[in-house]
Amino acid sequence: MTDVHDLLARTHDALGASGVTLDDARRDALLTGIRRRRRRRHTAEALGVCVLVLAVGTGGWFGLTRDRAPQPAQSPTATADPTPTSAPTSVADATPAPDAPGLLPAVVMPAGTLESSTPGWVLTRQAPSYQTGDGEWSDEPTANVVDAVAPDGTRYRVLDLPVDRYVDLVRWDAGTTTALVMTSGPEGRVAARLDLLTGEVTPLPGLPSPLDHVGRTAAGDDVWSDEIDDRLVVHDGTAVVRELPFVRDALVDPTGTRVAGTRDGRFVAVDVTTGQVTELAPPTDEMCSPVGWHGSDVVVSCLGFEASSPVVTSVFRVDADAPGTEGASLGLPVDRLPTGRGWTLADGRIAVGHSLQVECTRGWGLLDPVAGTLQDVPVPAPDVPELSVRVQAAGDVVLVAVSRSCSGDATPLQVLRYDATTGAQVEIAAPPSDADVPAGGSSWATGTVSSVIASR
Amino acid sequence: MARPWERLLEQLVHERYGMLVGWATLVCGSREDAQDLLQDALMATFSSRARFTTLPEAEQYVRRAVATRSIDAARRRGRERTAFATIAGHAPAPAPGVEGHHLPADVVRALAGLAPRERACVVLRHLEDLSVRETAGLLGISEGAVKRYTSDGVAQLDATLGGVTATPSESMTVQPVRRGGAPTEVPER
Repeated sequence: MTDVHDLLARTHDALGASGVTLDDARRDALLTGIRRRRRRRHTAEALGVCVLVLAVGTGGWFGLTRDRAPQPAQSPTATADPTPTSAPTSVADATPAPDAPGLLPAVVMPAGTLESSTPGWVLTRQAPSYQTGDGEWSDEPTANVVDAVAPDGTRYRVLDLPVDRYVDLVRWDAGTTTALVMTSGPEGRVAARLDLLTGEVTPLPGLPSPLDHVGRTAAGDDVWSDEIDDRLVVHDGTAVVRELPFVRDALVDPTGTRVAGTRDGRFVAVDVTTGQVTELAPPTDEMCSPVGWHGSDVVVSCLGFEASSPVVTSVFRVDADAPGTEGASLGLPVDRLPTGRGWTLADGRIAVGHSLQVECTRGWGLLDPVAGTLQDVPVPAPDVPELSVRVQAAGDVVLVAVSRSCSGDATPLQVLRYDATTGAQVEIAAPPSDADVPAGGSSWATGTVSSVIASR
Repeated sequence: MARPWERLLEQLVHERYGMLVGWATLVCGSREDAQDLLQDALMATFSSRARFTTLPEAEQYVRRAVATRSIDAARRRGRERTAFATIAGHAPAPAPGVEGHHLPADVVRALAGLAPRERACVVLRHLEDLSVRETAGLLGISEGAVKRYTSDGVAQLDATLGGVTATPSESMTVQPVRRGGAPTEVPER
C-alpha cells in the first residue's frame, strides 16, 4: 500500500523538477497586475468598498442601440432654476428609469434631487456583467449607470454612462452635483471630477498617475498617495497645493490636520500643513497600520504570521499628542480583531472590518477604543465561506460592501446601509438575480461595482 | 530601485516557480490550468496587505492562496460536477502489482477526478500537512466537512489508482452501544 502523503510528495517533487519557468510575458503581466492591484487595494481600503476594474468592449446596451455619449437620466429643464427643491417629488409619481438585465429598479431623478441630498445618501455605479457557459465574461456590461440612493431606499437614476467608461466613485459631498472619481487615463488610473448632471469626466490637473485617495484636510483639500514616487500630494481641486512626506497606509484624522501611517518601519504622524513628521511609537518588527482615529489617539493593528497566514496579533492605541509613549493595548478578543482601514463615526466609534483570514475580512463591527470593545454587526448570509466585507462611513451612517469571494475574483456586491444610532441595517443594493441573466449566460459576475456615501 | 516585494517576488520565481507550478497542478488537477492559477495566487499574494520578510513566508502564503483560489476558479468554470462525472466515468483501472510507483500523470489525473473541495482537502491535509482545523479555517468550511472531503477524496484516489491509503494522524475512541466488549478505536479517515 502507498501512503497518500508519500504519493503526493513524490508526485509534487516530480512535477517540480519539470523545469517549467515563468516566461517573459507572464512575468510582465504579473508585475503590472500586482502594481495595479496594490494601488487599487489602497483605494478600496480608503473607500471601504470592493472595487472592480472591468474589461469592457465598446457598444451600446445589451439588446439596444445607443450612442456612446453619457446620458443624464433626467431631461434638462427648459429654464435653469438655481433654487434646489426642498425634496424630490413623490416616488409614486416617479417615472421608472430605463431597465436593462441585471440593473436594480430605479426611477428617473427629478430636478434638484442631488442638490437636496444630505449626508448619508449613497451614490452607486452598476455595470452588470455575466459569465457565459464556458466561464468567460460577457464582452461588455449590459449597462453602466450611476444612481443616487436616498436614506429611505429610493433609487434615482443619475447617469447612463457609455458601457466602456470606467469610473470608480471616490468622494461625494451631499448637496452637490459633482463627484470625485478615478477613471482610466493613458498612464493608468487618474483622478477626475464627474459631473453628475452631464456625465462629463474632467481629469484633475497636476496630479500624477496612478495614485490613491487618502482623505481630506480641514481646508477641504484632498490628500493623495503616490506610491510610485513615494509622496503624499495635497490638491485643492485645481492644482497641487503641496507635497508631504510619504507614509504607507496613510489615514487622515477626523479634524483633517494630521495623517498617520508608517514610514521607514516607524509609526508616524504628518502635519498636513507643515509636513512635519512626528514619530508616534517605537518601531516594531511587525507590520502595523492605522485602523482609525479616536480624538488624538490612533488605533493601530499589527499583522504577524501563524501557519504562514497573516493574522492580527496586536491592537493598541497611541496618543498622537504624546509621541514616543508606549501604546496601550486594547485587549480585544482574539477571535475578533480589527483589520484594514476603519472610519471614525460622529460618536467616536470606529467602523472597521474584523476577522482577517488569508485574503478575507469576514466581518465588521463598531470599535470603541476607550471601552476596548468591538461590537460585531452581523451581515446577511454569514455562513457563506468566501465572505469578505469592507466598510465606509460618514456621520453615523456606515456603508458596507459584501463580496462573496475573497480571492479578488469578481462577484456581485451586496451593499448595506447601517445607521449606528438606531442599529437599523438596510440593503440598498442586492446582487443581480441569476434569473435575469441574458441567454447564453450562467451567472452574474458583477452588478454594483462602486459606491460612496455622501459626506459633509 | 526595486522595492522589497519586487525583490522577494523575483527570488521566489527564480528559486521556487517549478515547485509552485507542481503544487498548483496537484491542487487544481490540471497542468494546463496550473500556471494561470499560480499567476492569480502570486498576484493576490504580492498585492495583499501582508508584507513578507522571508522566502518561506511568501511561498507558504502563495501555496495557501493557490488552494483557496482553486475552488473559486473551479466554480467559475462550472466544471465541478462535469469533471467529476467525466473522469469518474473513465477512471483507469488500478495498475496491478505496481504499488508505490504511480506515474505523476496518473496521480494528477486521479486528483482531477475529485471535486475541488475534496482535492483541496486531500492536498492540504496530506501534502501541506495542515491540521483539520487549519484546513477548515483556510477553506471556510467546517471541520466535519474537512474530514468528510478528505476521507472521500482518499477513497476515490484508492479506487482510481489502487493501493492508496492514508496514515491515521488523529484517532478517536468511540463507545458503540452494545452489550459488553472493549471500545473500538476508529482511525480518522
